[in-house]
Amino acid sequence: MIRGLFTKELRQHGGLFFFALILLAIGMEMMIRMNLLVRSGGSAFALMNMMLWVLFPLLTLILANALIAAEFRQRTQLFLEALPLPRWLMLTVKYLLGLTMALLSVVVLLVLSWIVGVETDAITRRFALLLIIKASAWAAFCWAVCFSMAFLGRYRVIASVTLVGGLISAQQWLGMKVNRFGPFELIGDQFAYERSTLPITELLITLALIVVVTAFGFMLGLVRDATLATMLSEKMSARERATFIILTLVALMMIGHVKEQHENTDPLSLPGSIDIDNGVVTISAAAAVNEPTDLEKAALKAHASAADALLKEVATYLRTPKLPPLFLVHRRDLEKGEIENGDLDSRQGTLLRLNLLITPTDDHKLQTEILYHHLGAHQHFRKHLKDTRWVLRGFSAWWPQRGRALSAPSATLVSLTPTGDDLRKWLTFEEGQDERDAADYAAFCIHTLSQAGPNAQQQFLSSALGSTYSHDGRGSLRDLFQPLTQLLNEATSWTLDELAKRANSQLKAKEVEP
Amino acid sequence: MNPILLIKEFYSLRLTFFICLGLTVFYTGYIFITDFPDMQKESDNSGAMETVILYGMLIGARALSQEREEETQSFLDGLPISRSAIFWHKALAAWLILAACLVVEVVGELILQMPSRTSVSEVTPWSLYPLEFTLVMLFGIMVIGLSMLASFVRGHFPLIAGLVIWSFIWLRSQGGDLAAWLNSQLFFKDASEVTMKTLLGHGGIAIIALLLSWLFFQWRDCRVSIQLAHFADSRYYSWLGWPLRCCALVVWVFALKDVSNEDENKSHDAPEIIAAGEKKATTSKASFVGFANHRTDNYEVVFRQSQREKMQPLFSGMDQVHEQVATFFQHPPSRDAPIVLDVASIVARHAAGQTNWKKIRLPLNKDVSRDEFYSILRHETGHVFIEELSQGAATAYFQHMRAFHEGVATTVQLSDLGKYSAEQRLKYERSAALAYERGRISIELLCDNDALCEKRDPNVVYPLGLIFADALLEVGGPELPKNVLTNLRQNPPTPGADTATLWRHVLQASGTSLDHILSAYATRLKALKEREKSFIGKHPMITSDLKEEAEHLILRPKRPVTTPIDTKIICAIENDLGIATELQYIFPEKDGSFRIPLAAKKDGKLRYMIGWSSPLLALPVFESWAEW
Repeated sequence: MIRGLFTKELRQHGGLFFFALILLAIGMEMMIRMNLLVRSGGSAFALMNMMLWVLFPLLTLILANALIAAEFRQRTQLFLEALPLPRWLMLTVKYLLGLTMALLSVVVLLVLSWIVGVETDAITRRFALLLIIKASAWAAFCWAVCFSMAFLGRYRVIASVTLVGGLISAQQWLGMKVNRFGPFELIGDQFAYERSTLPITELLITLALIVVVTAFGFMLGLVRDATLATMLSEKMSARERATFIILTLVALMMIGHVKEQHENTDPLSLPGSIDIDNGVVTISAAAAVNEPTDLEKAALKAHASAADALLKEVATYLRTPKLPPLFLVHRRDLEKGEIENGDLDSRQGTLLRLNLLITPTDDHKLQTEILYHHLGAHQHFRKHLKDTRWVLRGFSAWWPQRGRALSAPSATLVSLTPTGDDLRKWLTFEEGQDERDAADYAAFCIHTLSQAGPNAQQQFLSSALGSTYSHDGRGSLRDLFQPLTQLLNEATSWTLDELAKRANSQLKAKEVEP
Repeated sequence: MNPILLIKEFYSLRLTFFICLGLTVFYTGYIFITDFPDMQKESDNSGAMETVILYGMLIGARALSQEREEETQSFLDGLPISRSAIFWHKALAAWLILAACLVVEVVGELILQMPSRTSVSEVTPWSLYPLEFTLVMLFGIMVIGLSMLASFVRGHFPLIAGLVIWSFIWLRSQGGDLAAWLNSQLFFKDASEVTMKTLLGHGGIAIIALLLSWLFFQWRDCRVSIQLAHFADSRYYSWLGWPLRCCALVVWVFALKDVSNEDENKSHDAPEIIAAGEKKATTSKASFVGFANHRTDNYEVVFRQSQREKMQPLFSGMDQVHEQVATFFQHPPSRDAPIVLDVASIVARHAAGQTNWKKIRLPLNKDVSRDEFYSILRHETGHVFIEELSQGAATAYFQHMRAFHEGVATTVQLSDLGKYSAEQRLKYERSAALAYERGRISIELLCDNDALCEKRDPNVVYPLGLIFADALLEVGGPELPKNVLTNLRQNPPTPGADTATLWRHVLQASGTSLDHILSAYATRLKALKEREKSFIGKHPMITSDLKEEAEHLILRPKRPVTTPIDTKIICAIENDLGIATELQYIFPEKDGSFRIPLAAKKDGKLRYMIGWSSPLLALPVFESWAEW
């Protein structure tokens, strides 16, 4: 009777089996002919590895669909159930047949690869045995998974996509080493080249997985007289399909959100740094050399203290409780006035590289750069990259000079008469001007705000630069409903045009009094 | 026109529209909860063609076949409407649904793009939108027409669609007029470049496909479908059904292969040979004379019998090479797992050797000297050690680790204290100084392979990687390369980390910092530039004149007044192989100009670079990529 079952399955699916083998052979032959793959792979078994990754799981999927899913979907399993045989035996026959097919496919691939690689791969007995063991374990694993999935009927596609998508996401996003786990490691990058080490742990894990997944498949196929598998094989209703799609999309969005919020940006630490933490901001100053001189050590200390004082004062003024960390790196090779931005993630803080030894701690440019980059990072570069940059640019240029006369503007700047529109389209304005002139003009604007009273000035600046943004659409909505012009109007009751006009008159006066 | 019939067709094709709407809503929502929606980069229209093909195929495949599948065709036939009217209503509904999908896509894009605009963003070409939309629709109509035609074969639609796409690629690869008729990319890149030929080519295909579909649909009550259905019900078909479906996959793979082989016949000789104007050597297929193996303590050498004479004297020094590499990495060799050294197989073009895990391919060139062979072997064995120490992590992060891989391997290669290595080091250092002179390459750029390949010659990782590796050794001592690799394996960086973040993380875990390395790297390059001042002076930046002539772009380098002896100007273009790109060198003409075939254009652009080749340099040094 069992022989009869085998014969029935072979008669029914013989063509498919045969074609699967032909397809594998054609696929392998095509790969061998792809010069680029041959050159980069360097081994026939590397091509086989690709086949095992790409084509082989597809073939087992088709096989499982034909042997299991189609049988339940077309209700032909009812004929089998009428036979005087236990149900588990029928499933076992199908399982063994599929497994044999999968292993046979591996043999075909191995033989083809061996024919191609026998001359150049130095095939030893141990190497051949390793290849056979690893490929066979992978084949058995693929078949076990597809066999079990096939019982899920209308959910098998969803389950497969979720499984594959989940594994890829875990690898790409969560940093889990899925490709180094059990069955995946068996056919990993080293499959075609590792000649001596038998991956015992991976093999044991794979075997355990095969047993568990196969048991799950049998359970699905046998539970409640196979009525569960029969029910699952029915077609999905339109409502069910829509619910699934919506649930999937929502789940994906939630995963993305959680991932974004929990993105692990390494806290940075510089070796041999001098750290100051005042509760609002952490300053780290370090030299990018192995053994800093005493002078350099003193410069590090002085600069860390000066930056600490600067940021503490600014945070108090802007009423911001916390600022991201600041890193100052001493570089001997940089010239005076040369300051490089380290382009850290805004959540990591700001890193500036300069020659601390030849830069005074109260250097105007240094203070401006610190404020510009650091306050920019504090708001995830929202002011940095938009036309509202004038506030950031102006504040960072104005702060080091506050309480005293602003530096005299250049003749070019004095000859200009920027308008409120220039402030609205700041990036365009900035592009057309000398960088220093643009920064000076922005500083004049910030300075001019004091005409509305120091409290109004502080209120505007703290609402514009001191507020903290969440790194998602809420930040955008906040700027949409509370644009900078509105903040200005609430604090000073001025429009941008009025601010520009007043700033222009200050500019014309050239000499600005505190 | 019958509005009721049209509405019925809209209803039956609604699924594609909802898929499009769902995806757009999903994408917008996803951006909203994970990022600032008003700080998105401007769209470069990439992927638009694939989207239209996807939607067009989804719509076209269902437009006619759905009635047959659901057996509602006979109901329609009972209505007092002609088959022609039914067909054209279906076609019109399909076009309108596609148009609606495209509108949804555009609106979705605008929702993110408009708030992200700043005053320096390029002006939105609103006036061009109708023209672009019309062109994209023309392409979409062609796809729908072809899909409708292919849908008569029912379950074999993927196979036929694959065959159509494959044929399309193949016809385009024939070059000349066919390429102009079928250049669909133009519809999506620059509307102003669309030629009458392209319009006629696509329009013609669309009309033919639609007319054939119309004919099949109405001819003797859709006799084609009935015949195909009869065939599908036959026992032969049930036997062939699955295999034929699987053929679709094969066809798609063949199509990709066709792309990769497009440029197979182009020249790929070494730059020095080309620069010297020598003829490409004609290589007759070597007669098969069998292979042999030789085992040393650390290597298992595979070679042709014909190479035995050349290989025999080299066996004795191989283990010493291995010893040198092991000493460099401070890692004891494992005797039970020899490295396979294959000197009989091919490697990537322009490469002296190639390593995959524990297999080295080092084609034995008949002119190679003993020193040179050992030098390359040291380099490739260095790669093996890097892979072994990182347990494959260095390859997993290849995008960020290539410069380290090549730099450290080059350091290992030159770690021998002999005269040959000293000379080679000098050449590498000169190459580094000359490359750096042509535009600063920071470590962040050097270690970001994609960004580097976009801006500069990808091979610059060898000389500048050497300087990078020197900086690592200077800052962290001889154990730093090993520590970096161990930490990369044991303490991997955050997934998706960019180059600077990855290196900052790894170096921090190894007890130093990226800034230390940056400092040492910059200082070394400054010193090198100073040392090689006169050499750099003799190899100034090269500019060139360009002229289009028939099917070629003529590039005429402006030579400096005095060209150093043995130094040549060479040219390289980017050769797109479909699944990868590689450098292709161009033969100079007698007058020193270069004829670049315009067929090498990719997406309407041709990337080329010119540079210096000299025996005093380890590798040719190129200017930055230029585009035409």
